[in-house]
Amino acid sequence: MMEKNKFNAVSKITRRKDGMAKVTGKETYSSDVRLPHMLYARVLRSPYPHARIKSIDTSEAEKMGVVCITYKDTPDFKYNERQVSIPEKTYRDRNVLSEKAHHVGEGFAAVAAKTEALAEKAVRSIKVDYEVLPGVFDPYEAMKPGAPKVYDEILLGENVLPIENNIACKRQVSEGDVEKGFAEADFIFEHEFKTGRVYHAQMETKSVVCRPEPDGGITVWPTTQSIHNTRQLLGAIFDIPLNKVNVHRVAIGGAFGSSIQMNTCIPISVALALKAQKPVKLSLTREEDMYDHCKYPSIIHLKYGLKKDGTITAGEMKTVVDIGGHNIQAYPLLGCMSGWFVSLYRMPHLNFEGTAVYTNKAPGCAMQGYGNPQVSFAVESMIDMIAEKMGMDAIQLRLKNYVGLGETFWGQGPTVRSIIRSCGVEEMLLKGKDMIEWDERIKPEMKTGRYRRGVGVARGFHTSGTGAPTPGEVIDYSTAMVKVNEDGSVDVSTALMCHGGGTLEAIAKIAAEELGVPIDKVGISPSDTRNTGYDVCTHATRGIYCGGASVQRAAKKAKERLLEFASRLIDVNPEALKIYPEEGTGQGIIYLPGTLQKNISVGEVAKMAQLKGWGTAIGVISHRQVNCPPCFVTNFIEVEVDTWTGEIKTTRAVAAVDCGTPVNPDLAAGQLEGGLCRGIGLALLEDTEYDTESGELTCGGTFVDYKFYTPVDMPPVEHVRTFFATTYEPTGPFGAKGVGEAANNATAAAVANAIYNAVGIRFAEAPMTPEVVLAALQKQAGVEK
Amino acid sequence: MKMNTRIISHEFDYHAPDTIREVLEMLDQHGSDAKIIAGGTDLITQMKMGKRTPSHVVDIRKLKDLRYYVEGAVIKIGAGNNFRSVMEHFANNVPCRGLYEAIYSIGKTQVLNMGTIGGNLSNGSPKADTAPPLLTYNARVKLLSLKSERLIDLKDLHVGYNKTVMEENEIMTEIQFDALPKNTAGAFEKKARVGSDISKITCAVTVTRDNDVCRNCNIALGAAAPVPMRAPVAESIMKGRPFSDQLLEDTALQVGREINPPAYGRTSVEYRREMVAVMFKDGFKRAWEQAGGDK
Amino acid sequence: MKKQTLNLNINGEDFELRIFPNELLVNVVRETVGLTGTKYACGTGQCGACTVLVDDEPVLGCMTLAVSAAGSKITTIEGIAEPDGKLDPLQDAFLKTNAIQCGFCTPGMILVGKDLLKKNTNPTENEIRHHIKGNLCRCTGYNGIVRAIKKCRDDMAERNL
Repeated sequence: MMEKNKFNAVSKITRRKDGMAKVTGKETYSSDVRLPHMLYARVLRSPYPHARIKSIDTSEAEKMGVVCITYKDTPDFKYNERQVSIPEKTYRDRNVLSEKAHHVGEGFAAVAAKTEALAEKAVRSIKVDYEVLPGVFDPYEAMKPGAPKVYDEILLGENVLPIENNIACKRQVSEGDVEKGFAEADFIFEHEFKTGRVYHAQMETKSVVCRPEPDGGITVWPTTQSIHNTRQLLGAIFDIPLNKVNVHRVAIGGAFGSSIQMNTCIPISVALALKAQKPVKLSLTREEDMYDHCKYPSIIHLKYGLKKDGTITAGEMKTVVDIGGHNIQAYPLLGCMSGWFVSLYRMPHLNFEGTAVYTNKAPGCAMQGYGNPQVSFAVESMIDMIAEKMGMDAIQLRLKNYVGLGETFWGQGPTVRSIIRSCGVEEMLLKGKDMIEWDERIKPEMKTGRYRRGVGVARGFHTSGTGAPTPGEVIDYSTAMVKVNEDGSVDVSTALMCHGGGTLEAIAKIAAEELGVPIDKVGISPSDTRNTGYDVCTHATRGIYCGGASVQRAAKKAKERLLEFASRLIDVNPEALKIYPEEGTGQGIIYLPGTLQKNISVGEVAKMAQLKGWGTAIGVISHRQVNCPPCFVTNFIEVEVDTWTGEIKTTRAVAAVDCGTPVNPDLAAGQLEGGLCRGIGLALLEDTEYDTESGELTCGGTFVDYKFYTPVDMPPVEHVRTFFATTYEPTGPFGAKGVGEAANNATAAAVANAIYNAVGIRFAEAPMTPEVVLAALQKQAGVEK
Repeated sequence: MKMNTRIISHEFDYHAPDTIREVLEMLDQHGSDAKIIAGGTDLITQMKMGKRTPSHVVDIRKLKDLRYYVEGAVIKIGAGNNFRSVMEHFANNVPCRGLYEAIYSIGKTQVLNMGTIGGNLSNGSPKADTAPPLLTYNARVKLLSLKSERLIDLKDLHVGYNKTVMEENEIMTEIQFDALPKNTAGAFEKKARVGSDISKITCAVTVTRDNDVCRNCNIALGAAAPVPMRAPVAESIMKGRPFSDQLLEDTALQVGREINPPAYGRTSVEYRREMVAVMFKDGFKRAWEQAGGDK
Repeated sequence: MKKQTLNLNINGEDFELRIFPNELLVNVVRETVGLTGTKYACGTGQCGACTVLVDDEPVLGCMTLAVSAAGSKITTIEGIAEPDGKLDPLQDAFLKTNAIQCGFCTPGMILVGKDLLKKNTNPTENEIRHHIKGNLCRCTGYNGIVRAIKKCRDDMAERNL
């Protein structure tokens, strides 16, 4: 029988259900979809960062027997590919194909042909007469009067919004009286921090297959984190009723936020497929993908006021974000950045000012953390600087000021607030501190020799979803269907997506736990938009907390029905019945606690209910979480600085997360390890730079020159340790919160703090490349360059 | 954006001759319209990017006649040997440790299987990792065409950024060098952004030791100039002198002075000067240890 | 440019294909033959997602002309389990240790890892990392993958005791 308070499925280590397909090469990703008579598409993209088309001639291409479209053929419909916000807060500056390029790589025309080689040849034969416009690549230059205008006007909701000085949007948030707060302070600290324009580098480039249907509808297999938002936007652009737009969920080869939006290749393939009346596949090349999206870079000016005892009296953050050539929802980004800032440390008085600026570069979009790694890099570096100056222990200063249990948390900007009900901040700091031997740290000035090691800490959090008691600017709910089959197995159907982290594995466990059936009995159904209810998107670290909660509720409904059937069969009040998974039979067993009689298996009940015509035990629920609890994270990192070359190696790390109940412990640990690797990359390695003459990426758009870490760059397995805080989130499914984005939010600051501890130099700009580090070391040593 | 890294967009005829003679005949016939493919990792990338568009691609991968080793007073390496084979061949060869380490640094399993030593040298890149150690061995390369065979010093092969003295109708068939003296050892140092990467800068050192005296110290650098290069002035500082820390520092500084790198990206010329000095010291120390002054 | 006949043995099955000389092995395997376990990810030989075994040695499918593989034995990720579906020990280890996240790099990782364990039955962690360093993974930070290869190494050693 079941032990009290012990889970049967949740927190168990299982073999992921998609594992078999993934190790045998049989998983189908969007780029693997092949249909009969399918055509291959290529897009004519702008070689200029800022240009308008004067004329376009596709006659040569058409002679090759291909299907060809230009911006003249696609619907006159402005869209924003990110459909997570309410319409009034959605900035729309995009067309399916454009007559103006806002960055190198923007699409003007497209062709579909029997082979990719023919499509490539045809697209290269299109003749374009360009009016080349001056480009702007620096956000401060862009805001100056007289700077080239990336846009004259766009749409905000349904209204025309003129764009002045290339400012895409601004956001200001304040509480209390920040000037008064600074006046009350004994010390004022102020510094500027920068992070790079990192590329997602998800392994699968964005891809899509669209098949036109005989009824005028379309079926789509896209790279996406949200099949329903993709469906809605395609319906709106192409004026097709939603019941004729079916979008399938297919596996995704990494996302990191790059496919929250409906990817721009999707409507292009739809337009081609509708014209060709054949299925059309459009898979981006790596170079096209790198010109499609990147992490928002940030420049953050940060100011804190503190009392002598280390209490923060006021804080102010001013940020300028270079969003590139399109506004993929910088407005909620700025709101979130304010929330990340406000929710790290208590500030009675605060001010946040964010400005998002258009430039002629690849557009920025969400990338693991949505502004949080950038904000945490600034704040967590600053906390260390303050501790150093005030002679306080960096951990004690954090413990004194962090926003924790019972306090208000802004999960997604000022409109999404909730009260913190579970918090492992202290536990993680204190346990991690022992694991990394924090107290053994010595000051940098006591270190000698060529190689110097240092240990740094940083903490952070991410929101678990974007739920709140009132409807805010962000849409958030999930729909789930759970049904018990006639042999006792279970189908779970949702539009949730697994990006690799284990979301679908987790919801299978949640369904199994709620129903009391063995995890092996639960299957995850293939899903598409026709057969699932709305789910906003698997983003914002909401999969388990929000999606899982809907699954739990649907399973509960199915269970109620099941127990009602059982009560008819064994003559026990359904309220008194419970279910547990029996190992021997592999069945869920319905039983009356305290007695060994009156047992019946879930399968028998479901079968009898079918035979007797009682119906199916099924639950369907649309559920919105009214909280978005923070999943806290803590990183301790040890680096080794080669003071002769400026090279920095990560030698040890401890990563901890407070995800409430870890539903998939090994997969969650894997997320922490992956987050570390990407976070260290953000700190030390990754950035994209532009040639301001050509507007092209200096790395050329390929992995030859865009680098991220390889297996030999990471510390040995035994030197990367992970653990979970022992918390229980009362509002989450079986106590669970999120993990995903939290995993890399604290990392870059922990690296910077470790470098400081190693060599006594504060780096406030990422990436901290060997060149930069060596120059600073030489400056410190008084060496003239 | 006239490139597509998923496919090769231009058309060509493919030839896979069975003999070196047929290869040479084809090169003679097609001139600059033909390109040799050995491992393919360079040529295919260039074709995808539209940087090279040969009408004829001549595959020499299957030519067994280019895959051999000869040991003796002159060590000969067939140009068609792949990286893995060369690396394994020199795995326990202390004097040629630099060559082993250079190939190890290329390192990606698939590229070790595909890339050939001849291809690495023939493509003319100043970043070719096998060039610096071979330069320290005073290696020679054999260039063959239908009408001639010539043996040139490797140092004369590269004549500019991605340029060699090879004629369009020539192929490289062999790399050779005189067996290295006793008490010789070498090392290869490489700086790159990540663990499998094109070199930012490289340094090969081959040292011959006579107890505490450095009889010879050959130094070569990659990605330090438009061509792989030796550092003759630095070498002369070390040559014939008893080892001392000061001597090492002086030589290292001179190595830095001798390089002539193009400035690009975030790697400044100054940074590279400082790097090669450090790399030389690191490489030298390892080589010096190995060269066995106690014998 | 004319189509040529290309005879390949892929995963034990003989194929007679008609292809152009400029077609790459990765595309022929994926599009012409339909084995999509081999992936395109970088197209420039940097990431290893397109890895296939040609005559048992790992090569990059995106850097190999399909015509040049004429007469070769090609093994893809779909071909390493036994005919009855029993997984290769390394596939099994990846599954058991959950070394997989998005799974896009997994086929290449398994093929290269398998190559290592064939050549060196007792590799150190450092040797493992070096052998797979031509294969990039953006999700895991590599630890899970290294653990899987270690587990397979240890399982194999145990079986041979």
